[in-house]
Amino acid sequence: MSDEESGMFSDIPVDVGLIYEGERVRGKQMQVELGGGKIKEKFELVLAREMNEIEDEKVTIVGPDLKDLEEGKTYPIGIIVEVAGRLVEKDLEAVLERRIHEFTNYIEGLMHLNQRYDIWMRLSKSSYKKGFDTLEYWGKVLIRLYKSEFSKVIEKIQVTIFTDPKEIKTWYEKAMEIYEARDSRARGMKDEDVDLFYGCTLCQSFAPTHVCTITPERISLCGAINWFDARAASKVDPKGPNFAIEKGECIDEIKGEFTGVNEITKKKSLGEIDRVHLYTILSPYNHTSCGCFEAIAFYIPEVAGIGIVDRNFKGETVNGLRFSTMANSTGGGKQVEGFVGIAIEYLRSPKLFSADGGWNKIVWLPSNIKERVENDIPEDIRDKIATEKNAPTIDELKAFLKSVDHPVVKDWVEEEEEEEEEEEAMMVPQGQQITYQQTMPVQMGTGVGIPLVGQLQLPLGALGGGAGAQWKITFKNAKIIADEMVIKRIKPAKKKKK
Amino acid sequence: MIKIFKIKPWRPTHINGPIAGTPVYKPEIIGKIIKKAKRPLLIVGGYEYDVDIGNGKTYLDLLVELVKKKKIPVVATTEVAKTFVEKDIKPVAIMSVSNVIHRVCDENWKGFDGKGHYDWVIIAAMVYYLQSQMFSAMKHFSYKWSKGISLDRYFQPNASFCLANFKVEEWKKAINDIVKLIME
Amino acid sequence: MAKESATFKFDSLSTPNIKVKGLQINIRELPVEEWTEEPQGPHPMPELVDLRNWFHILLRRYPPFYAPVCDYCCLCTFGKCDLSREKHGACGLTLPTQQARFVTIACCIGASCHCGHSRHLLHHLIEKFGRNVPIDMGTEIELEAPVVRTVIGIKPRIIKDLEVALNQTETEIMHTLASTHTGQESAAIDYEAKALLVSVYDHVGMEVADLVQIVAYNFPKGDEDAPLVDLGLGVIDKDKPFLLLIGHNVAGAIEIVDYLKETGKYGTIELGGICCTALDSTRYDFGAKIIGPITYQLRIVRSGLPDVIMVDEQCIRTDIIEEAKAINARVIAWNEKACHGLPDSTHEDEDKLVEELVAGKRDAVLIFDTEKASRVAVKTVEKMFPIRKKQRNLPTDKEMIEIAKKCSGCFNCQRACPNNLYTTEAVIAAQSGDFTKLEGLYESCLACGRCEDACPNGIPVTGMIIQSWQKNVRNEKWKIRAGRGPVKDTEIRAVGAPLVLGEIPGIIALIGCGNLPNGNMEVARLAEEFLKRRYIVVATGCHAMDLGRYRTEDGLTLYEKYPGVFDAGGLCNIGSCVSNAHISGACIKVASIFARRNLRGNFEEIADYILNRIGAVGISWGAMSQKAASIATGFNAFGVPAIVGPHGSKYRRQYLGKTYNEDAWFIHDARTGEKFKIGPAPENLIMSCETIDEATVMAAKLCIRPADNFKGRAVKLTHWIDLHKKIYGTMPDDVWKFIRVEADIPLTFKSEIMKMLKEKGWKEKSIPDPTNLPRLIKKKK
Repeated sequence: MSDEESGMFSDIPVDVGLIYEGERVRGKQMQVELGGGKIKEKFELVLAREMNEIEDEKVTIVGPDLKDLEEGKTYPIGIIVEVAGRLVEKDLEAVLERRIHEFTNYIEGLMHLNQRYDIWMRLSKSSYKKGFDTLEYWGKVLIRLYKSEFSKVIEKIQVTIFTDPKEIKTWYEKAMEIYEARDSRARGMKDEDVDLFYGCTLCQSFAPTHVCTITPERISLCGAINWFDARAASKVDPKGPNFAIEKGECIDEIKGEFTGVNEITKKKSLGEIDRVHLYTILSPYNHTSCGCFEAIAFYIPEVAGIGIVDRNFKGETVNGLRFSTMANSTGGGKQVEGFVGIAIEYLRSPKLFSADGGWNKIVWLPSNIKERVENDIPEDIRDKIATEKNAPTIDELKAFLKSVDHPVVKDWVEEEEEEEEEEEAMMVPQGQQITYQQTMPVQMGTGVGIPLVGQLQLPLGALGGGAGAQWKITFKNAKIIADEMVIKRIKPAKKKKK
Repeated sequence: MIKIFKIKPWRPTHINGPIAGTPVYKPEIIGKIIKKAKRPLLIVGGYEYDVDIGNGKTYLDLLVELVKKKKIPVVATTEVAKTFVEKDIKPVAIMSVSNVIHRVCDENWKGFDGKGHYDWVIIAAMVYYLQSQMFSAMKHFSYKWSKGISLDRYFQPNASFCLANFKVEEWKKAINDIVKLIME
Repeated sequence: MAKESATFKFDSLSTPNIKVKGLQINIRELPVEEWTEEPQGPHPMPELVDLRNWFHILLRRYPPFYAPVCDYCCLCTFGKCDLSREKHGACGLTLPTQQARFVTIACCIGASCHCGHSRHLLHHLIEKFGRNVPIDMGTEIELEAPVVRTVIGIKPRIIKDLEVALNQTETEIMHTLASTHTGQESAAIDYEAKALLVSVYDHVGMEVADLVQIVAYNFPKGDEDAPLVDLGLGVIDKDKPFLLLIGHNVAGAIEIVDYLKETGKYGTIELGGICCTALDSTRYDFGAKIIGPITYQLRIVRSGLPDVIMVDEQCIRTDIIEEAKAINARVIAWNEKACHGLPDSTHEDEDKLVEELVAGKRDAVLIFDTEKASRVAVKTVEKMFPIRKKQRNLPTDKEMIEIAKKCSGCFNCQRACPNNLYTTEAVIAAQSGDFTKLEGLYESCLACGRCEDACPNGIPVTGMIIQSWQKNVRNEKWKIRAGRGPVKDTEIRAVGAPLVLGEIPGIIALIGCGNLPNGNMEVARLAEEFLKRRYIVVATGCHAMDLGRYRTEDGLTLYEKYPGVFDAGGLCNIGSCVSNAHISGACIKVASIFARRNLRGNFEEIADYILNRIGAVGISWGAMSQKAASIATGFNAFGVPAIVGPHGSKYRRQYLGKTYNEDAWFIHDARTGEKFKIGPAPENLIMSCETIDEATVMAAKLCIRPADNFKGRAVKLTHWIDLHKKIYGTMPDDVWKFIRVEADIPLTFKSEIMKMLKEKGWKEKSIPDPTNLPRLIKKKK
């Protein structure tokens, strides 16, 4: 094959491409195993450096190379990717590091699982036989993919691969410190600490009016893009779907309303949405929801608390509605008071509905989600939140909350009287109210203007017909017996043609 | 002397209508037409292209040779493209045959090179019924500017010219003769 | 809930538009359930020309390409008329119009088949379970009838509600068929618009049929873990009576299962089926078995195994009684659409019928009552089994040599063979006892039997091919996942992010029949290729079975190896032919769930959404029937492109894009109203491919959509380019047409593509919010 055809990996003895991403190398097919459960110390690390600290495109192997390793055996592994460039900053390290997994898997016959101190790699016999006999190829592929994908950011890059156990041990300890430092910084990062939020319109290819606001304490609804990711992406491709949002002036600190967010959302949703409250569910301006949110938070008026249900939860939630029912009304880029799509990760955020009382307002969670985020629930409230196991219905939820004295219970006293009047006005999402009555000369159904005798209420929806539909009915001493009634829209006489 | 079958379409039900092309007994007739063609287009399909046609060559080898030598624009409709590419021939298109004939039947099409229609469209190595359909479209909708020829061994009534249901051995000789004549 | 009926009286009433005195209105039947969440869209229950605008938009971009099979019109007594080239028929008809008319007729037949099937089932189930069976699709499906909601504009609550949908479908089939009287429609493009409309209704008919059988019979409701069931010629226990079911309407099979269970006989009789009756019976009884698709009819019957054959409707061999007679088996027919010339025995004494069948006084009976037919079938098979002489209708190896000697080498068998198999050569080889060539034909053989009729010397060529394979039959034991039914709302939501982020490059739907050019293996390999690439693969009907009859490297069938979930790398057996509506339904669900597009009576907008956004491609490699024609045309109407195999070219018409005509490839940016040039995505709407390799590359290409974000586009291009390089040995030369922004370029092909872009003078564009409907352009607030 000519150079031109095989492209940027012509000197690599095996194929490189996205199609190898899901490839697994089984025990029998494996030439050698690197890292994994049998090895305690292993790591991968991306470090931001100064331009002069790096020798561009250099690959260094410290320790024995693939040809020196015995077939079928397991060895320790470590890798450091050092990058430099005008736009390279410490914050980018984690984002870049996460790509090692993906890029490595592009290599035919080289499997990479997990990340950081947990990596597990295998090289297949067939790739080894094809000539993939040095780790230098791994380094070369990574360098080229990094440079290609981050061409606007990375100006210089070098890779060091370790197989020598002693060297690995030293670096492993350093790596663990770096991971911890990064994590604590990310965990501790507050929305108040930054001037820039980020927006995401990736979903607009399917949901054209949805705009996600991503803050340090509010991950995207799909759970796939956090503030760091969005920030990196917007730097790499400023014209892309991730963009910076100047916070602007804070209009409402509690509810989380910012002039910058309002402006950008209005622009990106083409005027559909012009105000956003980030930290509340009880606002007509709460965050919009796309279609791929991981979970829904829903207000339960009977107990004045918030329930959360994830998309894998089967069956009815505590309010008698299924995930899919609520999702139908929540999604599609609309603002629906009392309902909002969220990521599971958001449950770990201190800004979780902070305007409404945060965890003190959460009353119900599916049990498997509760297990997942258990450590992030404040200890004093942890046992007071019900699940489908101890509170499958509203009545049982009420009883449960009372029995554990959940903080919402103290709000009930005043409300209880009103409640009786409201009867069972369970809150149902109202995202799709019909608003075209005014275009109809006659309103049928609710009795307005028509003295109806009998029980019939003509279904409003069936008499709809959108803008411009005209109805005129004349009866004189009529007695009509119909076998069937079909209602069809009368087409407007003049059809707009363009 | 070439022995022929009683001359019905190879698939006897493939009599579309009153207009039928000519099944030739003398392969050189086809050879001469192609040789004289001003703008021929060869379409190579994905059916039995690897049959041995003598001298250790396959049907496809022979077609590749022909294209290479005579620079006939070639469309590869299927995986045969790879063979052309490997032999350093760039097909004018790698395209499904229906998409090609759809173009051929469009009076306003300017050819793959922008220079206009092809006077003879030659199909080789394509399953019988699909060829029949493609030639049917051409017979009705492109006959004023493009006519069809089949190089396979079967009588295709919708093609303007084709061989007259040759037996395998006879066809092997015929196809070698045709290609030789064109390349002379 | 819908009120059943109502009376209301007005003494006097006056509004600007209404003046009434003493009015009483009795309404026996009210419109179906009020549906307040969504306003009615512009096209509820679209009539003949209501969607013409949309179809003309499609047809402008994908003009029909006609390849006539017959140059005449023979439908009226003026004829035959020669329509070749520019000629007109006696009524003025031209050849392109005749092709479009023929396609329209075929689509009417297809739609009628599903609608008739649907009507029968609904009627039968209302009779059996009452009209109030709720349409409850389980906890994870809220959007129970996406096609009916979109096209008809109703939200059905009970099965009775679906009658409205069928009424409308029947009306539109009737009007469409009426338009084919003489060539009255005159313009080919308007026949195409009608073919598209009637095929939309085909999807309505299919959805109704599958919905009612799912809810009434409690079939799996989108269950990704539906059990694996037995598939193949070798799965039948020869020590038990064997009742073979052939057809597409499961009602009879279900009566049999119920009767066996009621009488405690369940498990004593082997129930095995061909075609969709088989698929659907395993959705009810996971112990039922699937023999294979349509092409397995002669194979199983001539083996002599079936004791009784029960037939219903659609893809049944019309010579089934003759074939059954040859093996001394009996036939029970019950469907009004397939009476086989038999006298009506519905009211005859049941036991007497059984007695006469067993005694051989009758070869077949026709009983219009499914319950009674089922009892007769079971009783007959029980009595026949111990006394029936197992009679095969296949020559023995010894006989084969003698029979083969009758061959005069005329090649008539090969010339009659749909797949041009080298049958003559194989028969001649058999003269000397070499059956390997016959055996080699088996997998590509369609077992249609045409070769036998073509032979002037009466050689049973098909029989010989089947016989040569007999030693392998016991190995024909496979697994298939029982049809799961629709895609769940929750699954749609879960695949949303990966579809958006490009982790899932597309949806490959293998739909269709058994007219395979080279056997089922290549279909299964295609599926495996895309499964490995982590596309979502869904299958229905014959192809669902084709995928089961194949083992991967590790000895597993595809259904055992890949999970049944609608997700990256998942393989879903959706179900039978009528389950195809769940595939169009899944696309509709994306529009509803992601963009909250209103479905109600809103076909045009939804189809526009699907065409521009959802990278789904249908592949019907063995498309054969008129049903397949309407299924595929219906997918096209919804904006889903389809690929058919080489035999599919005989449908006469393809919708092909002219990529050289750049003016045809534009959309409106819904944000700005700007006209926007797009790459040819998708390039064709329905096309015939020649080889499976070609189809593989094309399928990857047809997943590209104008709305792809850069991540999705890059991933789709990666797979297409990779397949193109592997199969054709080179980078596709039109890649540049699909690059809008630099980020669209697949990482690993960057240098190559950048070079190409430079040569073409490419300039970066932006990614639009595409629509083909100017009315959907947003007005800035």
